[in-house]
Amino acid sequence: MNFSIYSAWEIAKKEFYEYLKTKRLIIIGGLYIAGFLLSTGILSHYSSHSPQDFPSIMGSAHSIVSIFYIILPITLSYDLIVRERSRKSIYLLLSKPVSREEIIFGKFVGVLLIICCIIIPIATAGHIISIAYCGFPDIESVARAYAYIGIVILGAGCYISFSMLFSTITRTTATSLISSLIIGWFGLNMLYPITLIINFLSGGSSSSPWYSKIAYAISPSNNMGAAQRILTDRLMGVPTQSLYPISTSQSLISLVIFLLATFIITTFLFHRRELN
Amino acid sequence: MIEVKNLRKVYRNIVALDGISFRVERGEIFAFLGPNGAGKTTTMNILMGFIFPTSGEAKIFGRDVLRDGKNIRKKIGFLPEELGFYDTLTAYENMDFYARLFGIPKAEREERILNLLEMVGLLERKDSKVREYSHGMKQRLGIAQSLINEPELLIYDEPTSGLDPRASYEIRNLIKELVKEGITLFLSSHLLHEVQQICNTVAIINKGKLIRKDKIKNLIDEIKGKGIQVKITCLNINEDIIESVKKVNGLEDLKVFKNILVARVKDEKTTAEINSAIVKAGGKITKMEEKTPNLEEIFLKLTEEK
Repeated sequence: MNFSIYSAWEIAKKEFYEYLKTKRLIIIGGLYIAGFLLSTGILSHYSSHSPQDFPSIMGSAHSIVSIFYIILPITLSYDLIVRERSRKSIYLLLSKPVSREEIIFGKFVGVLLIICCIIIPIATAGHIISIAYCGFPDIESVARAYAYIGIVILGAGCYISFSMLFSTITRTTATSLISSLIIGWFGLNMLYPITLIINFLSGGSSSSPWYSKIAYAISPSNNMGAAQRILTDRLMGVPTQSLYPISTSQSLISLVIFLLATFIITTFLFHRRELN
Repeated sequence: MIEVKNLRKVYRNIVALDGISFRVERGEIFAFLGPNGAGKTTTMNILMGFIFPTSGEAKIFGRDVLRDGKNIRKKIGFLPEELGFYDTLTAYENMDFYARLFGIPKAEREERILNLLEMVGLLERKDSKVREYSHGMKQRLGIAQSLINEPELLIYDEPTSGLDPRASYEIRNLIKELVKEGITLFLSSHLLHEVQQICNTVAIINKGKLIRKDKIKNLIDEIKGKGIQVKITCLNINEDIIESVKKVNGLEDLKVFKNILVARVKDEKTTAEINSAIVKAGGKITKMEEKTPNLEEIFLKLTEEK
């Protein structure tokens, strides 16, 4: 495979600058920013104003806006490939010395960069708001907060890759968006409850059986939720293990596997796809 | 430069290409001529790596288009039939993006883009978003982007498709200027007059099969060799006039339709003799048309037979 990081980077930059001007980024990104900062502000205001409140404020704020960690990547990436086809720009792009793998990688990186440029500064702004109300927390809490941001970005990457998969296999932007939202959001999240019902009906034990854990781990939003323990474990003082069927490290591994699997499948399918 | 051998493309039960073979040599201005659905765009799409052949091989610069497509495309300029740009970006930004993909350094890139936009008459609109462009302007921008890497080979698929006569004329003139510089051009079209104006070699394709490949000059000479067709409108045609025309040396064929004589003659001299014969026999000629052989005749004849 003849892969040039330079070409992929040029494609990533083009996607980045092109998306900065789009209405969907302004609207959805704006709602996320408003939601997160407002949540942080309100939670900080009504907290006990102690530095120990920092992790729970951050955890709650992320939970309130967690829906955006699914919607934002999906709405930015559902048409990455299918839109190139529908507006016929794919022919000019592929007539240049770029490989299909570089296109997939470049577009993925471009959208991920946008998400990083939104989430990291806004999270930092949220931290500042919390610090303003509650005082400086210890370094470990701040590090954990940023570690969770990293997990959110990893989760967003999973949804980007997942949406790109539908963008590659579907023929219209509408189908791609609907498929990504329904399967990516609703479908994947429904697997775990279904396995719990199956377990219950089959008279299984009260704890999650192995197949339920796998069903839970398939969904990136579940994994992001499970990994949130990285923020709040220490504070709550009560083991939160029982709330989630998988551990933080298992959720991280699941996210990485999901990302790699969807990315590889997308690349393979796009490589084989005829464009006519 | 381009070598296609037994290229075959089958979509389910439809044979889009049926084992075509041809070569395009360096410096040729080569036309791929055929009606809609003949297989022209299918061939171009295979050459560009957009679709994959069922069997056969296609090479450009001696390299296989499937295995070495990326390196081949460094030296090619392509204009697709369905042209699409990034509409939210300006013409300059589109050109800049494509130039970056070729790894052209910044200073050189800026100069080339401005020169090319000036060449195609879009310099004043370089900062307008492409979505504000007309179809003709987009086509001109398409030509500009195809030249950004100073290619050795241009592949143009129906370059005047969907354009009004003025825009088509401008595009054809642009292409004629390009070919004067000695670039190799592989062009597909269903417009015979366009091909005849621009190209020197033609391959005629129909229903996925290559029917004929030759220099345009040879094809026209071949038809010319079969004589000239003359259509004479005569007010008072009668048997005497018809008999006097039949006696003219060099007349190969004569058909009579009411007051119109359609004659196939050897050369222009025979035409003049027919004119004299009609006048001598008392005929009153109101109109005389000589139909010069052109590509349309050849094309219709070849595609009809197949």
